[in-house]
Amino acid sequence: MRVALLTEGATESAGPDTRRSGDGWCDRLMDGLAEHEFRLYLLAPPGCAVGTRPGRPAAVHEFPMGGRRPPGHGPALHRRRQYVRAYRDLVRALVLPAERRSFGPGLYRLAELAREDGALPAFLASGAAQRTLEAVWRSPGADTAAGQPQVGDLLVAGDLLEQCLRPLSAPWYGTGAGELGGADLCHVVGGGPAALPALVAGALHGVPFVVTEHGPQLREQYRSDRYAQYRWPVRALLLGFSRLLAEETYRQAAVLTPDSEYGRQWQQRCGAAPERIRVVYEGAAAVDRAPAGPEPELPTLLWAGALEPGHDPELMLHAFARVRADLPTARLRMYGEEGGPGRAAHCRVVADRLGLDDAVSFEDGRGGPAWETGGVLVLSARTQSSPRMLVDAMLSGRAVVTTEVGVAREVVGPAGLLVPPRSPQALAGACLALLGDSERRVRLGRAGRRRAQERFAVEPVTTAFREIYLELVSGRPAFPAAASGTRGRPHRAQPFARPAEYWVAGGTEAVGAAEDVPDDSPEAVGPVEGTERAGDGGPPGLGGGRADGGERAAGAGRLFGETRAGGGRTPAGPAEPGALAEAV
Amino acid sequence: MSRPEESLPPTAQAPAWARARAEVPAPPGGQEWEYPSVPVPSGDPVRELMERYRALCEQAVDPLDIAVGLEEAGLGRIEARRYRQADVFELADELYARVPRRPVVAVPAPPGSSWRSRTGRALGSAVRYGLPSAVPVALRAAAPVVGLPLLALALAALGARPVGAALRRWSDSRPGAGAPDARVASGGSGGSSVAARLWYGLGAGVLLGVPVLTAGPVGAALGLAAALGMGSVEWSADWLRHAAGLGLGSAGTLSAFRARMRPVLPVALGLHLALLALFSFAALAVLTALDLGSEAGAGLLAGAAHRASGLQWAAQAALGLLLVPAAALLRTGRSRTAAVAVPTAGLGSAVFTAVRAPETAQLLCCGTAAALLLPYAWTVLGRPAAYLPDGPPA
Repeated sequence: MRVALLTEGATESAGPDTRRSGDGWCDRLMDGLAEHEFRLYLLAPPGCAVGTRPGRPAAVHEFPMGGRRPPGHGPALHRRRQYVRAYRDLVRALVLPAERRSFGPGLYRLAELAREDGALPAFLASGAAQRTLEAVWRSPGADTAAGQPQVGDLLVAGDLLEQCLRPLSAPWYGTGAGELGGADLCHVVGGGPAALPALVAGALHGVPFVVTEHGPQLREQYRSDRYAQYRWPVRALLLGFSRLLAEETYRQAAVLTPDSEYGRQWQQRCGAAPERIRVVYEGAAAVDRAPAGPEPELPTLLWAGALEPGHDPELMLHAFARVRADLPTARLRMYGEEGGPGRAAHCRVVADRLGLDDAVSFEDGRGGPAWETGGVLVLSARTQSSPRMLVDAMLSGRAVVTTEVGVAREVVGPAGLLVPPRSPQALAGACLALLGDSERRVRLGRAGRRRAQERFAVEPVTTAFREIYLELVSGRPAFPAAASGTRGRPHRAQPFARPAEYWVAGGTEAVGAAEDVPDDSPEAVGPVEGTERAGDGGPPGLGGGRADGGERAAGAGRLFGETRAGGGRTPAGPAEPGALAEAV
Repeated sequence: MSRPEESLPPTAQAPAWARARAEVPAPPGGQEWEYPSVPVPSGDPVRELMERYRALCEQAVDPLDIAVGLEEAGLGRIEARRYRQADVFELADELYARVPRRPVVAVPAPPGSSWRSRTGRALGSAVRYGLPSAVPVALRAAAPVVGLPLLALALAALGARPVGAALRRWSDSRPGAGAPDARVASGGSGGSSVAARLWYGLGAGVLLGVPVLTAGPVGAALGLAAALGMGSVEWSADWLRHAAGLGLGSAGTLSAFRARMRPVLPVALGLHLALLALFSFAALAVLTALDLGSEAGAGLLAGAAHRASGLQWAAQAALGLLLVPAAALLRTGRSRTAAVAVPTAGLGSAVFTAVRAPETAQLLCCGTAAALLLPYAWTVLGRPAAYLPDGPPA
């Protein structure tokens, strides 16, 4: 099966920013599913090195995001009106609450136009686009309750929209080798802008797609400082774009695999159908790490996070003041990078004022916390949208105390202590209870490690996606173009026309066999063509499956994606709470 | 009737640990270091929440924005239940519905270029162009016979001037990666490339150098005045950008912005022409005073005014009319036009000088270029897109 893996990031991870796409995750998935042929499509942030990754056989296609607008001419005069119409639809969806539905059509029309002449970036920077944006933005009914857009906002918003829509100009749409239309399915890792090419491939070529999100992507957009610097109208417009893009992605995706129940709630809130969501926990590479050795001699709490209000180091310090009142020998080690200027100094001042300066040590948290130096691990964050840190802590085999926010409950479950956020008394009580009971400490630590090893191993992830991939393509017609019949008729494709193994049979030869199918010849596509090809030695029908008839297939494909995908729970799904407690 | 709690001292209501903390004196500077306790909800609990997160709710773009803000503040599903909602999303929905959006308090306009910095740049420009022009003029005044080496020296000075200026500006503009908004209305050299600025500087150098080196004393004096007037060109172009930056922040629509920008270029031109006339007149007055020597008296001003012919005044004005729109275009993302127009005019003027008088050549070339450039610049500079360079900083 040919899988197009779409994600943000660069081949060489240049820094912490580029790692959020879960680069290692993609590698693990490709290693685990070696029977499939993967192609990696990367949306590279500006300033990232473009290169090939060593030792990776998968083909890598890269497209730069952000940065300077690519050179090029605007559309010809007679096509400009079509551009304007599509752009107007898109912008209307962004600013008129009653017109949300026109987002998808506008987006796909723009993608289609951009694919034909590649004039989209220049058009979006032109005066025609600005006039369109202004006319819609200042029309009655536009949501400008907290501020009317000024001319400056118009320019900035137009510029940012152009950057957001840049993936539409990527040279990936088509049915040739190395293009998205030639893949059997797309797998979007991370959502956000990376989902744009998959959406377009789905609309133009009927390729189904899976979306894997590590932490709700939309939430990150709302949180990011990137938009916070703009005036209200610009921020509203851009967040509207992010939200509508997420909603459209969740609506069109065949299967959604968030990495937690918390992520599932976000996706459902944004309009994802519950039956298409399957929670697949993110596999942790460190599952096989040896547990931490003997505990330190003094009763030691280890706090991990970032020194910023969101991770609430102050809560830990205040709780520790109470712990020390009862247990004067207690020590606290704070592992955390500074989240902003003056944050570390502020924490030190708070520790000083609470009279803790001799018992608290601030450690350099850049290499990750040294879990073995603590007896009890504490996370006091106000939000936890990703299970990574918790899982890492649990894998150390020490008892964990965490605030009950975000993913904490489902990750820790009965194998740790949960306390309400922003409550120093509760946190101090939990810490004291664990510090004073070594048997319970060891028991919880062991249970936590086992729980994390069971749920966050890499193997369940590969198994889950092997199933999802097969389930997805088996539910799709082998010859979507043939099944769709003539234009305008209802689609009558057969969902189980081919068994699942049929799709696995194709090797690398399949790509070569299908290369010579012209992408604009619908009459050359169909079962007859497919059977003829079978005589050439290539796997039957793969050529036909690849070269579908463009948008006509999209409806049928989506129909079957919706009816067939989803359903069963993965082996990695949440176990019954308490089952582990019994095992312990 | 007062409730029994109200008669108690405030510390008596607090729990034991909070009482102990309350006795510690507050830190200097009013810094909060007591961990803020979670207030207990009462009658209409959501009202308290509305008060606490009023700013968040008023500025939210949609309910999800509020939900994210609440989550960031540590409110989870449990707290939402306390407020009789199923989850944070529904709580955010309620808050979004109950708190009206309020227009943002006007953010102070982007600083743009201050009057002081613009004047500083203008003075710098006047010195950069004026000094190299003054050297050959002074030498010609001291030694009437100009040797070839002297000419070569002057030309080298003229050539070095724009190169140095461009290099300096380039090094100034290198670390220009600010917030994306700042690039819209910041002063200085907008989005022009080094090559464009180099060409513009070279063209201006030739245009100024031709009269200084080849014309008679009156022409040289006018050339010197025009070189000093480069400061005024710089100032006018910067002021135009500044006005556009203000317009971007205050104009509501594209047409309002265009209407606002319509008189700006003519005013900038008028400003520059007035200053140029002043400089020229001063230069001519100095020349007249030197010529007349001590016998000069009441006839100085009248003599200065009649010193230059009408043709020379017209050539001077044409030079001014060409340089201001070119300098403005150079700063607004259309640098290529300026980089073509000015050197072309310079080259034409240098060539024509061989067959005609320098002032005729200057009037012809600068006048033609200005006649072509002015309508174009007036149209382009009225568009807001001109003030957004074609691409954000990397």
